[in-house]
Amino acid sequence: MEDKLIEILSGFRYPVMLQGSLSENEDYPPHFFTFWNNDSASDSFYDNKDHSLVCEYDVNFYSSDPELVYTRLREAIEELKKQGFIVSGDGYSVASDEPTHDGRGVHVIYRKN
Amino acid sequence: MGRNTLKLSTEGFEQYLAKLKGLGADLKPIVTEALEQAGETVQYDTENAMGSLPNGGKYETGKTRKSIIRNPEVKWTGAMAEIGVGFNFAPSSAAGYLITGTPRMKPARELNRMYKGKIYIKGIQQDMADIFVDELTKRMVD
Repeated sequence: MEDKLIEILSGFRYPVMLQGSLSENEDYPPHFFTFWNNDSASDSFYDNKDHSLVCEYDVNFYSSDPELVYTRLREAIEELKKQGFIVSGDGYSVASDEPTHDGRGVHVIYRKN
Repeated sequence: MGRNTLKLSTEGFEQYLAKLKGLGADLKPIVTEALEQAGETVQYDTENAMGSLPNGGKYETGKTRKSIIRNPEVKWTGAMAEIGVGFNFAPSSAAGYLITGTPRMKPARELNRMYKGKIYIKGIQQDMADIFVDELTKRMVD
């Protein structure tokens, strides 16, 4: 599932990384996406088998350009929806380690049958 | 900025409540009980999730723990009731950092699952539904 998420976000030509994976010594790239798998659960279980899986992710976009934080995340939301992800809302502010960067995140769901 | 809270309300339970009302039930104490129990579960799970964080971490301060909303009150607006549970601080606070993480810090897994995922809250709503079903069953048997 992550492969599909990474592929879609990579289409914006910014680095895509797991939330928390940047080391203390590494500089923030000017603009980049992060993601985190919140949870996953079986949605329909019968005959001793999982028949569908619901995966939930945080998708965050960080940028040194405060306007881009909003516009790129909105574009990413549209693209994720087109590719079958369920996204509700326009996102929320997320904390940044660097005062030079702002961040916005959104919660996305993917149902795999 | 909003607080790091989960809002639990009577939204989505209208059918149960209409049936209870039809059976002559006094809805206010039943709804209050269901929301308070759900609030207690979230408070308990939040405290547990905070307890499982490594000691001496960047945000291991009493302040974050103290910011957990305890014994929240149910607020009524007409026939709708809601309760706010979680942390009494803005997303830029330590609790906010723990829930969403940062590019240099992984989220606290359990807090992230509770406050950002939908699966956890669905379970809490199921607990509320069970309370309403129990109340319905009691009245139908009587």
